[in-house]
Amino acid sequence: MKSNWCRMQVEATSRNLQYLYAVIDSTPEQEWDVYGIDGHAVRSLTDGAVSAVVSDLSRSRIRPERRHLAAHRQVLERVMARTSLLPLRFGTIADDAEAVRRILFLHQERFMTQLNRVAGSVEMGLQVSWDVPDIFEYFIEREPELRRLRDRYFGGQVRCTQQDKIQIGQLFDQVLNEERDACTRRVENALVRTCVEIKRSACRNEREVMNLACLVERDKNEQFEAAVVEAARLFDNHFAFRQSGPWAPHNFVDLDLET
Amino acid sequence: MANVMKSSDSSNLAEMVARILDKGIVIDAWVRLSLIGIELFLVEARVVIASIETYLKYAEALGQTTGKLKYAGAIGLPAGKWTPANEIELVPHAG
Repeated sequence: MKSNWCRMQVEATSRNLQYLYAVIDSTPEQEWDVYGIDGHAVRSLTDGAVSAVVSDLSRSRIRPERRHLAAHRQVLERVMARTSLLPLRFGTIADDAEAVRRILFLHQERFMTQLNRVAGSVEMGLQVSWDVPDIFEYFIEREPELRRLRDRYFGGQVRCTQQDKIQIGQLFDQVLNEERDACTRRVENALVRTCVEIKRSACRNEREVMNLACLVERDKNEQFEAAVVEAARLFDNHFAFRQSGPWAPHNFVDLDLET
Repeated sequence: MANVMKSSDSSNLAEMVARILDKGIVIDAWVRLSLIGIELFLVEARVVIASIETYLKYAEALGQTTGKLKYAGAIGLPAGKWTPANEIELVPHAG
């Protein structure tokens, strides 16, 4: 008991919060040639087969300000240039280096499985939007049923109730999602041969058609980009494709860990 | 053909935020985020979930459309946008 208490005292005085950026294959504990959040040195902490990329942090909470997000991103980029990594969600802070080594030890196998999954690959983003002046006019032109309800409820013939509005709103939502799904399948078919995995993320506004994350082997990136252009040929100029990346494989890490 | 644009770096703020804030390894007990007074772009980057409120917003926007309008002539509406306000006013005249 007593020795435990002494250890706690020592730890409390040397306690040094650690901000976590990523988990990578085991490396010797070393400094990286990049600065982290608040300009702190970035280094790796190792236990067994995996390492964590961390920096000291002199605050106990962090706000998602641009400069912090940019620092986080920059560290990931630098590490990614050298090795495959699993990015941590922004704002992950451990009490001290020992706590970091402990979590590496506890979840070693899961980290390794995930690292294998993304080894040698990067994440590419593909976002497709409707490039039209008014998305509602666009669908009114294309969907007779939507037009019929619009005429009925807003044509001045009947009084439009709350329930009617919900009905037409819901129909729009349904039409929108069916169209998104059909478009997404066309794009996925065009890309599938150049990707290890493709993931759909939710759309952030009604103009967005799809929001894809594609896990692409580094040396297949050129083929991937060519496939994006091929996919764009399947659509008319009411659509706009925006490709982004390479990113760390944020969308291909499924780890929700307990301490 | 659809236009293809490439953005290869952090100039793409919304994309970066969506990834760094929402995706990646989660160690719940260690997430120490302070969300007080966060910048607006962070809120905008978040996903809108369909709800009654969304449906009503869609309905409102659809009510403003003018494409292939069937009854506009019939009820003598001036060319222009529909609004729920002028709809209510017009009902008696239509009858």
